[in-house]
Amino acid sequence: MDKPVFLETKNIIKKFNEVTAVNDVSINIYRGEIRGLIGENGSGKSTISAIISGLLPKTAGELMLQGASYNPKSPLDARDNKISMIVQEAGTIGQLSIAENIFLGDEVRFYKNGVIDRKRMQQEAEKALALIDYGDMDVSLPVYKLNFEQRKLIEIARALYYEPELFIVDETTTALSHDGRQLIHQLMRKLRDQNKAVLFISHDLPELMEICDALTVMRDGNLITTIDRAEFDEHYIKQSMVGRVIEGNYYRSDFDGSHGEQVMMRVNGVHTSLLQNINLELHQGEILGIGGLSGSGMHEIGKVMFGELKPDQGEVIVYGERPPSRKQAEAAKHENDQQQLYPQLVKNVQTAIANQIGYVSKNRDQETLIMEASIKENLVLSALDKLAKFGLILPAQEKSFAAKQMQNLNVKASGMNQPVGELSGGNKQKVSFGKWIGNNSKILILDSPTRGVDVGVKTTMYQLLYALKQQGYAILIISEELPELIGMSDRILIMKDGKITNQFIRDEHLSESMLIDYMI
Amino acid sequence: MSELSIPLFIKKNQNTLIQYAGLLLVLIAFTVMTDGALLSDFNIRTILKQLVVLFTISVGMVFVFSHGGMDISAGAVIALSSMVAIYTINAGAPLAVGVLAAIAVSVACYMVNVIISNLFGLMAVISSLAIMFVARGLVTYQVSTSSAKIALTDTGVLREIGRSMPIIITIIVLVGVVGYVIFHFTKIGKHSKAIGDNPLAASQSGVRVKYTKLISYAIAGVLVGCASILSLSRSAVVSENTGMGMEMDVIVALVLGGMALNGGSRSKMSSAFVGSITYVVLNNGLVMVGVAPEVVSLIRGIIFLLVVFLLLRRPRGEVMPR
Repeated sequence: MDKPVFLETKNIIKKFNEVTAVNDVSINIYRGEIRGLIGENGSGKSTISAIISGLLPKTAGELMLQGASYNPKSPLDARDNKISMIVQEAGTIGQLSIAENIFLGDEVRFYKNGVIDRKRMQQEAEKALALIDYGDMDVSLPVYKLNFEQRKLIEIARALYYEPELFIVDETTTALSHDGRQLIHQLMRKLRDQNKAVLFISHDLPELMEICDALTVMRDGNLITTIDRAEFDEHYIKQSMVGRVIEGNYYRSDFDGSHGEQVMMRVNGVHTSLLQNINLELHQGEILGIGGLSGSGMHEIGKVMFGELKPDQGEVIVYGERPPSRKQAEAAKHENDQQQLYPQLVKNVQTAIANQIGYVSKNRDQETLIMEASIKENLVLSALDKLAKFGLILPAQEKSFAAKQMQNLNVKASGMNQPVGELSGGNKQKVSFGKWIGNNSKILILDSPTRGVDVGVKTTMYQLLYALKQQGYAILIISEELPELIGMSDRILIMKDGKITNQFIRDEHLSESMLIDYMI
Repeated sequence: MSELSIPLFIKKNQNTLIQYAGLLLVLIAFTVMTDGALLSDFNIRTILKQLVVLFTISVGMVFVFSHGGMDISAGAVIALSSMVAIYTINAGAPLAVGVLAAIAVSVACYMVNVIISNLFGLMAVISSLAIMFVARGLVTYQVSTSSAKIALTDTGVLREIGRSMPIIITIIVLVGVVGYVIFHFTKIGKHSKAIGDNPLAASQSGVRVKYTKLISYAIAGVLVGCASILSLSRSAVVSENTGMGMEMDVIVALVLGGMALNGGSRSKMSSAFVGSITYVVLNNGLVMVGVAPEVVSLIRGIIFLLVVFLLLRRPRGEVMPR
């Protein structure tokens, strides 16, 4: 190739505890080229870009910048080396003004007699905004007054102000409107024409194919292939992304979307600040999938159903085994023919748990598990009421409970007293499942259940979920990974802007592109 | 066992080791330095008398510390509770009523504390600072405006309690056992530890965070109220200096006993026991070997710093990107 190499990664490896996120990846990034980086969630594409931009240290390997060794200690360090990145999540600080955000960490350049020259900072900020044709904005406004798209534009202006030689865009565009996207596309093309290097990370294949000069495909932490624009072929790229070929036993193999008749949960006309008129039913023995973009409100549905988030309007009903009043308990005794379920309002987390609902948060490590506590302590925490005898929870009881759950779910650990924080992602997830299954939960609300989990463990998770479905559990999976929803759900609800936009019944012919139309 | 497993064992049981090593070190060092006078019959009585008050408060504070709370009002609350007890008993009420009055005052103080911090999301230590000033202020005002000393007119039974070794030992054992059982074998203790580590995960596991904090503070209130009676049984008077510095003694004692300052799953009731003995023996020993009182505080400070340093948690690992 005749284009000069700007940055080279040599055999980069990145491990998070036992999970290998990036495995032996070597990429050359050239000047005058827009390089696309594509892969499914968890393929390692964000991790590799985080290493290049100094957000994460690498475990092993080498980075070369124009032939010299390069070891960024922080994003600021990377910026000094003319590498700027726009991150997936919000990268601005709400309380600070636009100008302060743009020059965050680089206030030194405005020092005048030991104090910051605000006026000059604001002038420079206006110049930065002019780079993206946003020069008319009041740069003294605090960033929290802007909407998401405007904040992203601020970040872009910040990145461009420092005249990057390498401009990295990490999945920014999915959250932007059409105009915002066009703007980024233009900027990327302009930089390329100025002989700069651009790295564009996304899982939106059509967009990448339109913009990029070459595409690198990653899968499960490995670099699979790099394809030049001339050889772009949608089918081939998709295949190399999925690669492992979704065989029968990865997801469930049947296409029978049937489930029990009994309604286990019902959401009636729920409104919150992020949700609009949500109605849904979850049945016994059903895997219900909810898909959408991160900001679509699907994560909030999980929280509302678990009683953690109070709806402004509407109600969540759970059908539990506990009769709500003595009168009904008496009546039930007389009938006595069948296990009867009683509708109850989910008022808070306590009523949810008492009615056998379990919830695993998307932020499992921060919200569902206690990293510092042992496996045993995590497993028993939600089941203490069940284990207590006369108000006392005896150690022997806890031990046998924990041992049973660990064995059932095949948790790999040095023992039940090992802190959960030391476990691998898959084993952590097993503990968070075990916490609810052990507590006799019959309804499981799982938000992004396979996030940060190895492929091998994913398979066991899917098998477990399928087995639970067959045992009559009602399972709600909220996921950003469409293949997972298609592969596992009996029914899929797609969300957009706080509303349910469509419903799909399990079918052999369901495809991602059919669902995406209702998401974006 | 291979050589490798010994450092691993030390690392895994670091806190427990520091906890007991400190006590052992203090005991041996001062026994040697005082030629055994530390363990003389008379001195052990002195130690136990000091211990019973500190230990009772420490047990209460374990409940507060474990859920991430921090309290610096204990000393002032003791003064206020003692004062109310004196007035109640001097007015002719039986001892039991005096005890209940002291406990009621103390529990009320702690309830106000936790309700303020629950309602307004204020750091518990700040609301306890307010309680400390109010309680101390009430006592100081009362002492300065009353012409006579505020003292028990008839010390009677209370004095006997303060002198009787069997009673003191019984109280220590009772408080210890009940505290241990509640903390380690019931929901209150387990929920407190979960909140101390991760309030969000705790509440998603069905823990009622505010309620648990309330109960923990109520337990602390009862024990501090009891401690005020025990303290009164030794002195029989209340001055503006009663209980002064006690809150800090308790914090130091708990840290010496291996309590994690920010609570969580590593909190143990044994910290209260081991820590308060270590602290009392340390103080007692330093005085016995003739260390000037002006220096005692300095030495305590250095030891405190050392232990806190040893107990520091390692920072958390990095978080995997999405």
